[in-house]
Amino acid sequence: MTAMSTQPPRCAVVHTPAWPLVAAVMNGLAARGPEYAPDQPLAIMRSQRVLCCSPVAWRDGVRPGMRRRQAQGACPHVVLVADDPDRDARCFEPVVRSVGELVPLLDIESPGSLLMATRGPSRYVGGDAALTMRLTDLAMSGLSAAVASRIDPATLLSVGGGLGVGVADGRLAATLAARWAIRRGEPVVVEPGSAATAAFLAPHPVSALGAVAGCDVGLVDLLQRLGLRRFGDVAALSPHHLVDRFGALGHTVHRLVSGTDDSAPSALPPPPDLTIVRLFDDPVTQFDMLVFAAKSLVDELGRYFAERGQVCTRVRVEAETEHGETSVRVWHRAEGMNESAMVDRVRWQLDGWINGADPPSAGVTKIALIPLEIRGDAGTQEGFWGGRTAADDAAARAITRVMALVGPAGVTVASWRGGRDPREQYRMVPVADVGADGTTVHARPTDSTAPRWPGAIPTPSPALVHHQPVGVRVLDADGHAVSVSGRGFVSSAPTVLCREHGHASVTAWAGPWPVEERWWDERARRVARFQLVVQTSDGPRAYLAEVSSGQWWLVAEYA
Amino acid sequence: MNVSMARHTGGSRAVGATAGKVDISALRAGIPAVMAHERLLPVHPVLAPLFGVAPGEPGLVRGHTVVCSGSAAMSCALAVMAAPTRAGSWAGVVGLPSVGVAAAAELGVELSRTIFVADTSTSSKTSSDMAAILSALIDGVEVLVLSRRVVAAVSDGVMRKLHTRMQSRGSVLVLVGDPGSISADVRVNASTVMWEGVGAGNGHLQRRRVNIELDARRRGRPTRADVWLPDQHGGLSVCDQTSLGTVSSGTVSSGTVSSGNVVSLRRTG
Repeated sequence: MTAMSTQPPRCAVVHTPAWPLVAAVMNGLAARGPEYAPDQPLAIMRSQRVLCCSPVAWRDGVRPGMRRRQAQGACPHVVLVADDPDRDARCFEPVVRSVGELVPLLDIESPGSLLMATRGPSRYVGGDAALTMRLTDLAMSGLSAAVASRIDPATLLSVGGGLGVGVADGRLAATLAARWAIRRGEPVVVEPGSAATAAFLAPHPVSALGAVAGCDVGLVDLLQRLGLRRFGDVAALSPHHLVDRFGALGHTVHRLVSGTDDSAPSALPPPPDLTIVRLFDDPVTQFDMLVFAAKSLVDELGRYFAERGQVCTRVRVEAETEHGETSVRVWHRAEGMNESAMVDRVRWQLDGWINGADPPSAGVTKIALIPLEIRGDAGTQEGFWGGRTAADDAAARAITRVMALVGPAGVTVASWRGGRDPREQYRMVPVADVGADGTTVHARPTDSTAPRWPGAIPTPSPALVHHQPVGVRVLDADGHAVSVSGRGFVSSAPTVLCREHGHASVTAWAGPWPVEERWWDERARRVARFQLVVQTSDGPRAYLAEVSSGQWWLVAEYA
Repeated sequence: MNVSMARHTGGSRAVGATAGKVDISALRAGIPAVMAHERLLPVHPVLAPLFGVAPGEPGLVRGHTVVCSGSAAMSCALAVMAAPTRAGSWAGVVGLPSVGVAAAAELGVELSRTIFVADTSTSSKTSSDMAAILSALIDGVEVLVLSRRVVAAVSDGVMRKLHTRMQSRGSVLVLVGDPGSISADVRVNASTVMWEGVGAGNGHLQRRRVNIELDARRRGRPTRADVWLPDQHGGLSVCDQTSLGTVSSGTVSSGTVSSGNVVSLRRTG
């Protein structure tokens, strides 16, 4: 197997299979809903089918996936509980908090299932076996604190099928180890190393891929019908064959079943939410008042960043009116925005919106600032040679002022995008979005080995690309309109170009170069392109023309 | 050329005020020596013989207004702004939404130092706004490219003020198209002589011979040159005098210059 390059991180999983039942019982004990006894036959219903059932109900013949009537037929005194994801999450919180005392960084895969990286915690408590014991104790103590010791946590958990703790390499192996631990009645620790992990995974049925790893049911079914019933069968196949048959999905499946899935559990604390929102009870219509309100928001943010020695380089500014119109813009400044720079940007945005072509119809009720990119404030290092020059600084200042005058969308730089037509090769991006330091703009690849766009018009490019293509007529020598057939053949040689203000004779032409683009969606384009050289009073002029559905357009001029 | 005058008048006035009596030699000593490269912006090597103020120091004189006209005006303006942006100057293009950015890149314009400003004069904005935009830009960019629509949107008086400001900042104004009442320091007329590479249904546009005629104020007779604008790679190159005889007149010469250079295009998508 060639896919053994990366070692998956070692993970621990704490798992309860039928957590919704535990949550329902806990909810009843906390007097937030109907009370259920743990020894009653219980089943959770979702979409008129049984989602999961307690061991007592299972013994009486209730199975997940049954309809209501079937379940009641199998066990007439079964208590059916409606599914409530909020309740499940709420009741799981004490367990998360309790385990969080030992392991602060947790992935809550679903209510009832916790995933964590074990590297730090295992060292702290002295090994994987000790860690599983601590995790079990912590989960139990969290539960008993939540139910105020009115019920034994082990009894409570038995409603949901018990609590399993497993440690293994990788997310999938750890989850399966935790499930296996429930059946064994004690924690399972799979030895580290890819061989041990593969050996542990091999006997598991492929149906676990659907239940645990979230793989498509159809895929699991197909694997079973192909005679691949266990993980080991799939892992024994060459990954190339799986990729041939299933594409990228095949590669994922192979990594999962051979125990080399390296998607890591989160080991980073969640980023703080720095969104600052100001809601106005009375809609504000005066521009100055809005800017003033924005200034107080910005000051608040500025204090936060100053305390931490940070600077914000990208911020999203949102404003909303009483009628629900919104203005959302992302602002970027590579060297960081201090308070005044940020207020300026809010002011430009509001000014452009309120005094612009499409002003809002009501007062503003909400302003929000959402910092998107933050970095340590290391100051601005001036370049020694070849860095920022005085001209760059002067240009940046001038651009800022012009943006204030014409609005942020009116000041743009060109960024290479690639394409077949001169119109689409470059995209004009607002300077406000990318900054004016020229580093974030894509330049055209100058490398001669860079792949060319097939079907692109060869150099030289036209110096004038019309914003609005000019509709024209092109006639042949007999005065008939020149057309292009579906197979890309020209009906006759173009001779005369008829524009609004007069005719001109075509002295040379080349083409047609047909293009059929994006036929799969509504942006479909089917045109044939020509180059026309036309004799005018002040010498020859060359145009790039397009024919689409029989209509000729001049799209660019080689001016 | 008294271009750097505007910079020094301020200094001399200060000296004169304090001394009370004007001492010419002291004033001369106070004037910093202006190096040629400080009052000149670089110009494309092919255009250099045309722009040459004096032998050995070709360049765009700061503070000058360059008017590009003729059928190849746009390409010509792009060629003029290419060398300064390469050398680190910033350029502002105002009111030319249809400028071919790909052609600009091929002519050597450094796009990361080129700012495109939308022409807002057609919407509700008035000409005073355009004047404010232009004066803000002049402070920051050294090459300002304007269309004649923008010039028409600004009154003559405002334009003169901008011109003065531009001279004191040392930037160059490039106008594309008919300048109207603007007094131009350099007039460049670029007229297409012929296109090469395209025949009757074969080949593709490869290069264009352009006759450039440059007429500068306070200069003798106009200078002329034939250049390829654009050449096969979209750039600007000298039109070799010896090859002129071999190229037949007319446009159908795909066989002579374009051998093997036609990139076959196929149906794509």
